Amino acid sequence: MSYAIKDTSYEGKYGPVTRFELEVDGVHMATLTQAGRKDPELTWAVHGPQSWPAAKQLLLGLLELSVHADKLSKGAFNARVKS
Amino acid sequence: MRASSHSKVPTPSVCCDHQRRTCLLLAIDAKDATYISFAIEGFDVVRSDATDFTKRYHPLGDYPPERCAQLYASYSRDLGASEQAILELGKLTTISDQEKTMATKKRAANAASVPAEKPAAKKAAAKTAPAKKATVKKVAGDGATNRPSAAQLFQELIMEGKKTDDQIFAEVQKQFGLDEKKRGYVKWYRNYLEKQGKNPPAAK
Repeated sequence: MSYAIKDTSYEGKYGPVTRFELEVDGVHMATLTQAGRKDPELTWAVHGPQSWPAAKQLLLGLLELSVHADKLSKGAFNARVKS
Repeated sequence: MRASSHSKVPTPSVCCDHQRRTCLLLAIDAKDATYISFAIEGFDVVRSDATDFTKRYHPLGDYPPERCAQLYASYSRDLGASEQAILELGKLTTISDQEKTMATKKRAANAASVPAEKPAAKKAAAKTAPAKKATVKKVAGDGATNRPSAAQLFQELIMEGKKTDDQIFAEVQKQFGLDEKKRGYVKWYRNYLEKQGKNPPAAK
């Protein structure tokens, strides 16, 4: 059992849209989206009972997505500019 | 050639693999790469071959390692972290003593939960043991006596259809010593046989 984060970014109508999708064993679990310079949005949903091994992977995947979300955030941008 | 390709990776830096799993690269030279890995058991400092590392990971780019360290440190309170990992994270961000103890305690708890598989193995062995006994019993049962159970006798007598419900109960009571409260069992078994589709004869 493992998770993967796929980069499915695309060129939207109003500019580039950064999108990362979390999959646990090939099943879509969560999406991180950032349109232009807006704040990144993390959406996720779990349907039905999850086994503990799957839940662990989901937990890790969400934490990893949070790292990517932080990278895309304005805070990280400001920190980059300062340094 | 190798050394030059490795030296291009700045340290410390945030890297990710092809599945975008992150790690915090602490140091890399011609031979080894040292990094903080991210796993459910907690954060740990891992040393691997530099070539393997560069094959698997690439820099995430434009992401301050201090910020990543800050996130890792906050996660470590719940996931746990080794002392070495906390020490390295502490060089990049400020971690309070309380956070350090929480992370290392959590890590120790995670490590302690691993040998808990032993009782599970015992349970598995215990589960298999009665199965053996059961087979032994069955072999003994197939031998001489083969005495029917009360349930079996109820069903046989009902299917014969020669006796009344009272007579059936009296016979089973005689053989198995049932008390009067179980008189209703005859009806119950007749109904049970009907549900099984065996079409028992009607009560006399």
